[in-house]
Amino acid sequence: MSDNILQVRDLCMSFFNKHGELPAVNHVSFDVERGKTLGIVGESGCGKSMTSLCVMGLYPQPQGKIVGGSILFQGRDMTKLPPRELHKIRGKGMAMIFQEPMTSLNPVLTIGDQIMETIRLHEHVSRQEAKRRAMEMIAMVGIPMPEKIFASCPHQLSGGMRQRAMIAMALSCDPELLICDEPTTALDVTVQSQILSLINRLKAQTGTSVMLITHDMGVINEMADTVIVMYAGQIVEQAATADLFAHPTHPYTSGLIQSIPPLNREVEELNVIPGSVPMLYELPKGCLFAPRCPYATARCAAERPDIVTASEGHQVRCFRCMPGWEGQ
Amino acid sequence: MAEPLLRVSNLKKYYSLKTGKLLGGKTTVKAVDGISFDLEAGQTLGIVGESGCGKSTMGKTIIRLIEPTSGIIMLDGEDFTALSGQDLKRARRKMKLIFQDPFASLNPRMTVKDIIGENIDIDHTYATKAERDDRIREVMEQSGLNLDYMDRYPHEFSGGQRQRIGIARAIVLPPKLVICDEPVSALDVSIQAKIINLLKKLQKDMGLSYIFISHDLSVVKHISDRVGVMYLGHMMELADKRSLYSNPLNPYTQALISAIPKLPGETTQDKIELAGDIPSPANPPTGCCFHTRCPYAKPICAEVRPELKQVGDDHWCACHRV
Repeated sequence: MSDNILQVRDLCMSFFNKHGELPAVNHVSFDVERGKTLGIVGESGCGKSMTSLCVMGLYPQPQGKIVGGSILFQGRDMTKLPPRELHKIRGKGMAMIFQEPMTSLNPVLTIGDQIMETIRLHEHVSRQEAKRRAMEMIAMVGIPMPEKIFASCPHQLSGGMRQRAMIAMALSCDPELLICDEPTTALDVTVQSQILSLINRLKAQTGTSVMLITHDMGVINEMADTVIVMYAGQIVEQAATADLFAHPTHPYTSGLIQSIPPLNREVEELNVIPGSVPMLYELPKGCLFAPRCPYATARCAAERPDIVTASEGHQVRCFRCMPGWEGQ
Repeated sequence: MAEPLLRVSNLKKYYSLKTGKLLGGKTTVKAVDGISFDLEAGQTLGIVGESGCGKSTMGKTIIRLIEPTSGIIMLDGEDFTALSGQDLKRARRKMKLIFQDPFASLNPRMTVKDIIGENIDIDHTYATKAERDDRIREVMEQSGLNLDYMDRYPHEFSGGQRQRIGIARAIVLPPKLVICDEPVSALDVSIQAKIINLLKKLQKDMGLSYIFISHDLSVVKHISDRVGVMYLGHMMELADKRSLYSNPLNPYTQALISAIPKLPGETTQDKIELAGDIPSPANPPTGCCFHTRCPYAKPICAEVRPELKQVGDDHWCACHRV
C-alpha cells in the first residue's frame, strides 16, 4: 500500500489539566490516498480539527501531548521528527487552509509578501523568481487583477478573496497533502461553491491529496472520496462516501444525516439526537455514544466497542455490527 | 380579505457615510431599499440572502430597534411607524426578536430567571412574586430548559441551551410575531434540529408568526411558508416556498439554490457558478443590483431597475427576464 500519502495509525493525543488526562484524539487510524480527498465530519468538539493539527504537528503544546500512535508522511513518522524537520515539511510537503482567513493571514504584510515568504522559506530562489511564482499562484486561484491583490493587505479583501489567497499560499510550494479545516464555513453559499470547485480543480491540476474537515454533510457528499465520522475523539464510522450515505450504519452517522432539513421533500419534524456531545472530562465508561443512542443496551453502557469491518471498506464502531448482537 | 398581521410597505433604511473628502463628501448606504411584504397570522416568512444583503437590518428595522428612513409597517391594523412613547411600548409587546449569537445576547450578570423575567417585570403582569416564578417556570418548560437551572448564569450553558433561554425570553409575554435573526447559524446540526423543532412546536401551540432570517436555504425551506430572497437591500423574489424552490425564476435565486451542497438523492442540476463577490452596498451597481454577476445580464439590466412583479399565484419576482 505505497499509494497512501499519509498513514495515521492508532493516534492518541491527550490534554493534561486539573481533570487529569483528557483524550482529545482517541486511537484514530486512517489513510489518505494519493490524489484523493478524505473527508472528516463531526460536530464541534469531536476532535476533527485536533486530528488535523496533530498531522501538521501544530497541536497546542505543552498542554497537549501525543501519547501514542504514529503519523507516517512520505515514509517518515511526524510524531518523532524534531521541530526543525517538521518546519521543513510544513508548507512544503503538506500545507493547511484554516477556517477564518482573516485571523490566519498576517494583517500587516501584503498578500504578495506572505506568499513569497512561504516560497523563499522552502526553496532557494531569488526574490524575482519568488515574485513571479507568487503572481502565478494568485492568478491560478482565480483572483482577478493579480498585481493589485499582490500589493493588498488582507483587510482590503473580501472573505472569498482572502480564502483564495490562503489557498494560493498553501499551494505555492506544491504540497502533496492539503489539509482544509472548515475552508468555507465562514463564507456565503455562492462563494463557498466557488471555493469548493476551485479546490477540486486545483486537486485535479496538481495531483495533491486533500484532507477536508467540515461539519457539513452536503460538502462531504460533493467533495470527498472517503469519509471518517468522528465523535468525542474517536472514529465511529469510516467508508467510501457513496457507501456511507447509502448505508449509514452507526447510529450517530444516521442521526447526523437525518437532522439536516432535506431539500427534496417535506418533513414535519426533524429527527434529533437526544442529549449533547459529552465533555472530555466526563466521558461515559462504555461506548461514548451510548447515552444518546436509541439502540443502547447494558453491554453498550459497560464496554467500549472496537471498530470492526461491517462490509468491504466500511468500518463501524458499534456492537450492532458485531456477532452476538441480538437486536434488542 | 382580512388584514394581514404585518404589512411592510416600501421599507427603507439608508445610512450616510462620510467619505473623508474635503467639504463633507457623503455617500449613502442603502441597507434596505424599498422592501414590501405581507405576513399572515400563524405563518412563517423566511428571508434568505448572503451577508451584507440587509436581511438583519430589515429585521431590526421592523421592530424599530433601528429607525427606518421611510416606509410603513402596519402591525395588526395599526401604523407601527407612527407610534411613540407609551403606544410604541404597548405595540412592541406584540413583537419579539431572537438573536443569532446566544453568547452576546444574554446579560452575563443576570440569572436565567431574571433574564426571562425581565420582560414581565417591565410590564408588571403579575400580582405576586410566586406568580412571576410560576410563569417563568412555565416558559422554561415550554422551551425545554431544565427547571433546576433557574438560578444559573448564562456562561454555564451550551450554545443550544442559551438559544432556548433567548426563546423563553421572547415568549414569556406571548407575542404575535417573533423575528428570528439567524437563530441556528451558530449551532451544530443536531442542536440546530432541536431548536428548529422547538420553534415549530411553539408556533403550533401559541399561534405565533415568524420572520425567519437565515443564510441557510435548507433550514429556511423547512421552517417557512413563504420565502423572500434579498440581495443588496432589494427583494429579488418572494413566493410560496414550494414554488420558490421548485421553480425559482430570478437568476440569483437559481444560483443560490444550485450552490447549496447537496446530499445524495437531492436533485442536482448543473451548478450555476456566480463570478465574483457581492458588490459593496456603499457603491451598488446601477439598474438591477444583480446584473454584475448575472449570467443573463442584458444592456437594459444595467440601466433600469426591475420592479417586483407578480408572475404567478403568490410568486413575485424582480427581473427583466420574466
